[in-house]
Amino acid sequence: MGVRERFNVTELGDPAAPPILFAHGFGCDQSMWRHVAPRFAADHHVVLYDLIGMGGTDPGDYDAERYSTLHGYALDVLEIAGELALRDVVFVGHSVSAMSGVLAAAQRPELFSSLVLVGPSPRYIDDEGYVGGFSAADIDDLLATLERNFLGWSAAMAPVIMGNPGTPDLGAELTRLFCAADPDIARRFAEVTFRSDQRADLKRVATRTLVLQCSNDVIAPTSVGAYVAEQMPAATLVQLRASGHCPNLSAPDEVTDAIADFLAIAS
Amino acid sequence: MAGAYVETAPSGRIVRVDDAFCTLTGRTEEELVGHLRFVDVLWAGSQIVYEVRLTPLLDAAGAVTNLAVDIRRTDGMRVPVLVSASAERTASGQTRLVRYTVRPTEG
Repeated sequence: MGVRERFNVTELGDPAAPPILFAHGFGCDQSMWRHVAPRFAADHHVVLYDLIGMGGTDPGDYDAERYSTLHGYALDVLEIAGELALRDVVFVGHSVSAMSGVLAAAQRPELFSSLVLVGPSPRYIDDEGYVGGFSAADIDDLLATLERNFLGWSAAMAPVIMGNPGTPDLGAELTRLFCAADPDIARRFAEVTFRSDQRADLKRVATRTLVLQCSNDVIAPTSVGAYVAEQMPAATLVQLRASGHCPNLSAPDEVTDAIADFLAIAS
Repeated sequence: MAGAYVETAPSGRIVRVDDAFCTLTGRTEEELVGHLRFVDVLWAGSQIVYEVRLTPLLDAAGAVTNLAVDIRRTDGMRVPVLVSASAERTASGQTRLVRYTVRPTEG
């Protein structure tokens, strides 16, 4: 099976234009970017994909060993860039996928022109001299809470979504698959994500980077965004007014403007 | 206990609560309204689940039913609840307010 099919790749804009690759975080799918990504299609080759086990991917493609660390997800980024022959990629990653982008850029720096990290955290669990925001017990609590909710994860949201006239446009395919996830893969992915520690990788990445930090983000506190920006050699921290962990949903204008400003400075 | 009721503004801030929600959280109306968001009264693990599932589904579908999370009561007690939320939107699709109903699953 080809990479496009395996990752349910969506492409917008001119394939000859500079590429911008959007990666969603844990819990949903590429539709997390639907208020933001299309706005870059006028002057970019916009590429979106679903993480394995989520959205429109086939759970059969999940390889427990490959995805036992975030490096497996970083490899996916590199495979997509390779298959689509993307060069000088602007990588935009939300939440855990921000760190997958960092790992991908550490491995193949020549592929990336810049990174945009939205709500990144290199480690969620507190450590000596480091505040991630969570204790190890909190992450156990998270996994137990996920378990109580997994029944609804594999169910399609289509009937509800299509019944709501105020809903922004979703393509038929996106609608059918919205936020669907394989519970077993989601459980493993949650463990990998929330027990990960990629702090040491930050200083290895000299790619020009924008860190977008939300206000009052319970998943990635302000001090964590500051830590990421401070550890990465070429990172700029921008504090968003947007509150919560999903500014791509709650404040798409602010996110789009911040990314566009960052890209304009580069060119 | 009957379901508790909460309303939040587009900013996420709580703008209205009933007595049942005050009892569930161990907080007064004055402590909740204008100061806290719904996510702020949850246990840490539940806060993550809220952000990765309820937030995207509410944005796309305008409604979410029966998310199982735990409220962190001010006395340190864990109160398991089922949360349903629905967004009231303007004609242009902007969220005006979100209504939550919260049902304890034990006790």
